Amino acid sequence: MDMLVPKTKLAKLNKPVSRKLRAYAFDPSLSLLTDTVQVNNIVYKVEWEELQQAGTKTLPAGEYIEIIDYDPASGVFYPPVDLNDPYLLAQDGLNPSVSNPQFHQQMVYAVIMTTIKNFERALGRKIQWSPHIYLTESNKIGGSSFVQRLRIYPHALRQANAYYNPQKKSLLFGYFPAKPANVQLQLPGGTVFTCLSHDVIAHETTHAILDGLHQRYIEDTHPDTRAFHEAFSDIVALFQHFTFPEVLKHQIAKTKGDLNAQNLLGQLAQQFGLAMGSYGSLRDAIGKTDPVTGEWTPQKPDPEEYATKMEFHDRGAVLVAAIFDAFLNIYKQRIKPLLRVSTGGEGDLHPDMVDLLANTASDTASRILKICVRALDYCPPVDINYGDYLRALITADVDMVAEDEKNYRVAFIESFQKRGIFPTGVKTMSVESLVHEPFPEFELAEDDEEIFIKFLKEFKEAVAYETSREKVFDTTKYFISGDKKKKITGLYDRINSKFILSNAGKKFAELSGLLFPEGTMACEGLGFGHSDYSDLAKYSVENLWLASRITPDDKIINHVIINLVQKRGIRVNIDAEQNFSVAGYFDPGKDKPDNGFIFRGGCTLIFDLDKMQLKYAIKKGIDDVERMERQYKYKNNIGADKGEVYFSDKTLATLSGPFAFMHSFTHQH
Amino acid sequence: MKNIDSIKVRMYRHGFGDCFLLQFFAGATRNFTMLIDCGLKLNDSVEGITLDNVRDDIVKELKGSRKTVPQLDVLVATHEHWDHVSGFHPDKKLFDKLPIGKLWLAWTENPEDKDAKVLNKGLRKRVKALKIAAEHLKKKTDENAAAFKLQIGGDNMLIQRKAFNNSLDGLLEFFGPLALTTTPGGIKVSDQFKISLDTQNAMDHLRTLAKKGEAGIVYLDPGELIEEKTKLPGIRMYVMGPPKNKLLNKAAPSGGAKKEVYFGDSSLAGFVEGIFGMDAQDPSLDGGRPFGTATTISLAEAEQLDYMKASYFDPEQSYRKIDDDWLDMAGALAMQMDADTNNTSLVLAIEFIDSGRVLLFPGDAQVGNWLSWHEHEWEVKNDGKKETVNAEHLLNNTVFYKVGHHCSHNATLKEKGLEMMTHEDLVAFVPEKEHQYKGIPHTPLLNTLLEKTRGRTVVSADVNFPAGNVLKKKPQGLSREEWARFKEQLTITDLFVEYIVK
Repeated sequence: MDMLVPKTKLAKLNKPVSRKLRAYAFDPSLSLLTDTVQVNNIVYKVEWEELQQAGTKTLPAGEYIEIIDYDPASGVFYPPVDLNDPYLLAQDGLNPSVSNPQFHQQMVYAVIMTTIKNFERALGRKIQWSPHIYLTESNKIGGSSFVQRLRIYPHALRQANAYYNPQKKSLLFGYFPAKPANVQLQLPGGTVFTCLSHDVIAHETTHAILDGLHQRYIEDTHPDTRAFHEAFSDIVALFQHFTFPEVLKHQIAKTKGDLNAQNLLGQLAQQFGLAMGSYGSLRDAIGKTDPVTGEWTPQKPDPEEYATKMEFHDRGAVLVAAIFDAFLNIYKQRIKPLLRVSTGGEGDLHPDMVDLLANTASDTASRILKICVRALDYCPPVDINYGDYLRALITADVDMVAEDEKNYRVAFIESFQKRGIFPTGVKTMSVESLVHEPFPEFELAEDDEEIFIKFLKEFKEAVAYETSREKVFDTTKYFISGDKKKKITGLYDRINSKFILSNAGKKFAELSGLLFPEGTMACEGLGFGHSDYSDLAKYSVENLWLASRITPDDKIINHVIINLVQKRGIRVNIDAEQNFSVAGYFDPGKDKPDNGFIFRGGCTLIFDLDKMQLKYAIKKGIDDVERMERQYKYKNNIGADKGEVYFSDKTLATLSGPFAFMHSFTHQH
Repeated sequence: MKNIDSIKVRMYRHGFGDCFLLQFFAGATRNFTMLIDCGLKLNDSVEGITLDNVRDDIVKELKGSRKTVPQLDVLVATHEHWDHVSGFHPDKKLFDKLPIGKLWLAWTENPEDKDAKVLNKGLRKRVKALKIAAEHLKKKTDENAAAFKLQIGGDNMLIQRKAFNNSLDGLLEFFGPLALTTTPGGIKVSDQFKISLDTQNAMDHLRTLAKKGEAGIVYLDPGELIEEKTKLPGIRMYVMGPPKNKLLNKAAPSGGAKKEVYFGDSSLAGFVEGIFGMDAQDPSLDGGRPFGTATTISLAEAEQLDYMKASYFDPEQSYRKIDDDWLDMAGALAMQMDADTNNTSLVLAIEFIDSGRVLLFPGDAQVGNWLSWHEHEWEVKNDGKKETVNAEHLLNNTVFYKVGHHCSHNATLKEKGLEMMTHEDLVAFVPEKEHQYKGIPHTPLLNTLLEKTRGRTVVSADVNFPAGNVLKKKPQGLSREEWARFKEQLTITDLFVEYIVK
């Protein structure tokens, strides 16, 4: 009998939506406790993607990342996991195991892809890695090239550390023998793998994504810049963790009706970070456990915190605590009605109640995560501080949700205020004064603005439906610089002609905080390089993004975001009393004089494609003397306390990138 | 018998290193002498002042006016760092003819002490690993110099890479000269020496000298109280450190109890094993590998695999390779070892019983050592009455502070240290020279010291802070009487700075 079914009759399967992969929700240490083992092993649902083929197998390399499991200290490679192996697919991935390097690769893949997708959902576009800057034959900067995949090395280091190396476009994870603080949690003498901690992986991935968005945030220009990179990465790791309701359910059920959310979630937040040494320190400002009684208490915010905590871990902890505090307050408001209807009797909580509470916490966390990520589009391109970030949070949220019925914005403002974080130049801590001025007056000739926005709409059409990140990258580049040969004017030329050299040129300079002197002499005199392409001072278009977002009330937002950055050479005079004054300027493209320093200004311009108008201009002025002074003094350690010994920060930062030493032993306190 | 009522402290100005001569007087009679350390950082010198000059001056002082045989009652070597003990190296024969009454060392130097043995064995191993790593990184830097040039900012990266290597060497210099032998397998450090052959030799030579002169070697434990009624009437010495507990590993300041959680030596153990495994000819060596039985692909095999050729070994992407990145941990290792050794510093507080005034000599003690002082209480008798003394009390009464570790940021504890030094007569001596180490002196600390001492902080050999300037003008905070007294008690010459503590 012929059992063969004609080919055409075979049921055709669609690609699955997601790839299910088992991994730890925390890190392996919690699988050692019977109490937590059942919530520690969870299934990550990662958006399905094609993986790179190697013969009959696939490699853990897709659209965004490639995992190369080289362990240089051991002198070996570990074979790549084949995530398409039918046996693996049939059981939701390899069984979580510390001793199986292929499982390590699987977990790293699952967590990184989850993190990436969280960003993309919030931003309304595909993320890009920061481009590789290459040199020409004559050692000049040749340009920037697309980085298809971030490289992941799960076993690159032998230390209690993991970091993102921006030069190598790589994440390096370390492993080390444990010397546990709590023998129950870690086997003494066992090996701890940083690549098996959800929070460490999400944290380092966020560094890389943030670097792809704002390449200048790795410049240490303000006590907040490095702290922001750290804190933001930790915030993403923390709230992503809170989006797993299974983890929360277990904890909520355990509390048997004691629903002081502050203690429960705060303690949990710190537990997530606990096993990883100095990573946990970013959550120190949330609260602390009494070493004797084991009782956890939230930390009271101190209005002096922002002004006094200068070490960047401590400072990072202030921002983490501020955001976390806002989250708690929002959550508490949301569960109030639930608590009112619950009987509050003795004994275990009703399982439905547990579900409701856990889902509310998880949903709140997911919203906070989105708000935090989205705010990045509303930040200035250089020299970010916490005040800027607060304004970005508020402005981004106003754009998404017109009516703040659940008081999200008030919660953010309150928790920042409690820690003494006040944006400069803002009179009161209210939503109205914190939100960036929408549609600032900008008297362009009407057709100028129209032509300009039409061009941005063309950009939208060109990238909105593009699925290849490489094409998006190339198209964006093309739209920025245009094509001289084909006589296609790019964004750069259009900004020149439609804004800078238009009748509204002065207003544009004011809105953008940049200066545009004309002619070589004028440029040099004011400390700018003279453009090779126009008669104006140099500036660069560092980013051009499309943000297409759907608001909770189903409106579609179409924004185009442009980052402009300008570089200026400033000659500084410091007198005997350490007073700062500007002694003059120099062309930043030329040799730096002894008293010279390079200063950057920039702005983020957000255009509303529907209203056909410039919606926001968020700036860091290039002519802001106060900022120059603060930055110069900060960078030269004048009147501050940086406390470096033996290795200069500059040396360390150049070696493996600025993140390598943030969690490492040298900075472990 | 008349009590000791003044101590002359002489700080030598020979460069980056400690050498302090203390003479104890009862009225005009000198009862007792003590030398704390004599060392100079490797590759450092001050023109016109050699350690020979220093020795000659010490001997001359010890002979005193009577021109008799010089006698040093106690020699103290605070810890095994070259900048504190190089003067005792056998080749130098500097102190060979000087009779020594007693040699005081910290318990960590006691060859019979079980904990000290473990500590020193670990330290030896790590110094060796560090040296191998440092040499390997240097070799790789030279090999990769051309590749750096092809990268963006490559010139700067090469400069910084070299600066890193130099800093590693600089840290290794604390341990003194390290001998190297080159083997076919790569670089190896000689197995025979302890931390550094020369530093160990210097320490051993001290012991030899002490034994030759039939002087006893005293190993001091924290919490001990030293009273010498005949030679040191009216004086009590408190042994504050080094600690006998985990604080020995604590290098840097911290806040909060949770931060005390540290990985300590063990987190670096795999790194150290890896370094030894790097050049290992013996494949059975575990080398700190993380997976017992996992299948692995050797480097040579990987180079043959097509998918590896297209990724890790793709020449276009060679800038993304990570072959040596793990070795950068050597920097942290070096700093940790440096701190560990500094934390083995013998710390003495010398007290005038009558006035309660204290001279504090912390060696190069870092945070852990400082913190541990507060774990002790000393029982003393004042006028027949039993009293307990704690570290806070001693710090409150400190009128002379030998600034720890050449005024680095992590060797003067803030809250439980300097902030407790509240005595209005506080004077600080800083043995330090410019441009030897990044961040030394730590200017904010120096400024705090100047503030706390109201201008009475004297630096030994730093051209940026000339000792002579201290006497030029009355600091604003000092009263006329205080200024007059300070000038009277302070002597500055090219060779030394001397202060009479009363």
